Amino acid sequence: MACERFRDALTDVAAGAPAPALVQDHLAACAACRAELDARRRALAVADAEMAGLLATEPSTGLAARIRTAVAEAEPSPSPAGRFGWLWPATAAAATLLVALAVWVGRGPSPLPETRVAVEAPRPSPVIPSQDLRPPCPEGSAIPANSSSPGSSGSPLSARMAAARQGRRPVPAQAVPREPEVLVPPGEAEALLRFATIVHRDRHTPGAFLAAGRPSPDLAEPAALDVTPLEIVPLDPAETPGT
Amino acid sequence: MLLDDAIPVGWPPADVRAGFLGQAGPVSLDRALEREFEERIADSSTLAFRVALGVLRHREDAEDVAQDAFVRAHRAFASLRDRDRFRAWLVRTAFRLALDRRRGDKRRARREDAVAVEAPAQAESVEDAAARAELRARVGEAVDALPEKLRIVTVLAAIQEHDVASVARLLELPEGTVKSRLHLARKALAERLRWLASDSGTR
Repeated sequence: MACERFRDALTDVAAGAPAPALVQDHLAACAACRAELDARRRALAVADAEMAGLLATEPSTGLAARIRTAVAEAEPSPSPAGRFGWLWPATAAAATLLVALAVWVGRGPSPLPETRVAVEAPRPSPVIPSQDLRPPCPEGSAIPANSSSPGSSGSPLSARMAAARQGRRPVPAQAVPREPEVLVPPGEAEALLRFATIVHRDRHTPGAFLAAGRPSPDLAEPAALDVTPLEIVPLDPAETPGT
Repeated sequence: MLLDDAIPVGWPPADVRAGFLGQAGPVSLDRALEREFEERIADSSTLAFRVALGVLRHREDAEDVAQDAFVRAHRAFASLRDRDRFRAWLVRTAFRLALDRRRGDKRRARREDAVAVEAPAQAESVEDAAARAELRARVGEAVDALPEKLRIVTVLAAIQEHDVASVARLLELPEGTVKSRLHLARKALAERLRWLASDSGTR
């Protein structure tokens, strides 16, 4: 019965833990527990030898070649879309904020209640430079969201642009698949990348987008409203509608 | 520039940044990635194979899993270029794929009949070979019965030249955690495999 108390301790010792003094004293006096400890140690040794033998097995000599073939068949090369996939959500957020900022700066402070900016966040998709957007924006580079190959002429986006050139009304957004796009003038690509960097790393603390340590009154402080009092002309009671 | 102070250092990677800004062609970037991936295949395919073998105990299945793990690694390689990070990711993926394969394998019983990955030695009798296969199967069952966290530590530690530090690096765990898990695993194995010593008449 006394040996039962040491059962767990024996397993601990067999697994490699140092034996406490109490356990050592018991082992010195109890042949059955010494045998039990020995049995567990040997069982572990057998298990170790079996595992080591199994895991010393070398793979077939052709494994590396087989992996190369499988990789080549599954995916010929890491696509630019795959590499820049992380950029799209950041770019979409950046574009949304830039549009909102441009509208805000362009319109200035307005007392009109309908000064609302509706911005739809585009659907995430890869970012690939496209050639077919250059004619309407000759000084800019374009980054469409769709991963269709550059120069493909049959895309809905090209059709919409052709329609716009011919003066036709563009198809409503809900009638065609949406193709979000971000036009990036070459001179602003660096700034957009920096912006995307911060958004991506979730480091956009308030004020991070402003000059560090430098007040930027143009952006940070909106101009005071210049409200012209309305001139209220009292109605002439003599003039009534219909007279 | 306005944002200089807020940009995290070292991100995005220089090649990605250059690609975005049009300063480097995609061809050179692809070649560099492919070259690095080739190096990873050369130095880590055996590791992936052995991790899978520790779970499946079947050579062909383990090679299938290693291959699958590398195909997945290739898709995510742009973010796994650091060697230690790649190997840690590969070990976890191979282990997970091997577990999934084992769970979904309806022919498991038949597989275990053919569990021996080595041909019996010439001097070994049929009875000895059968006993050896039986022993390996029982040890494998005892390892299978371990919780996953203890199991992967046991498999990695059983691979030659893997000490606690290298297992900790592969699992991205503190060494103390690895030691503790290894000890718990060995305790469980000692309890489960006591019959090994009993059968040989040592008690």
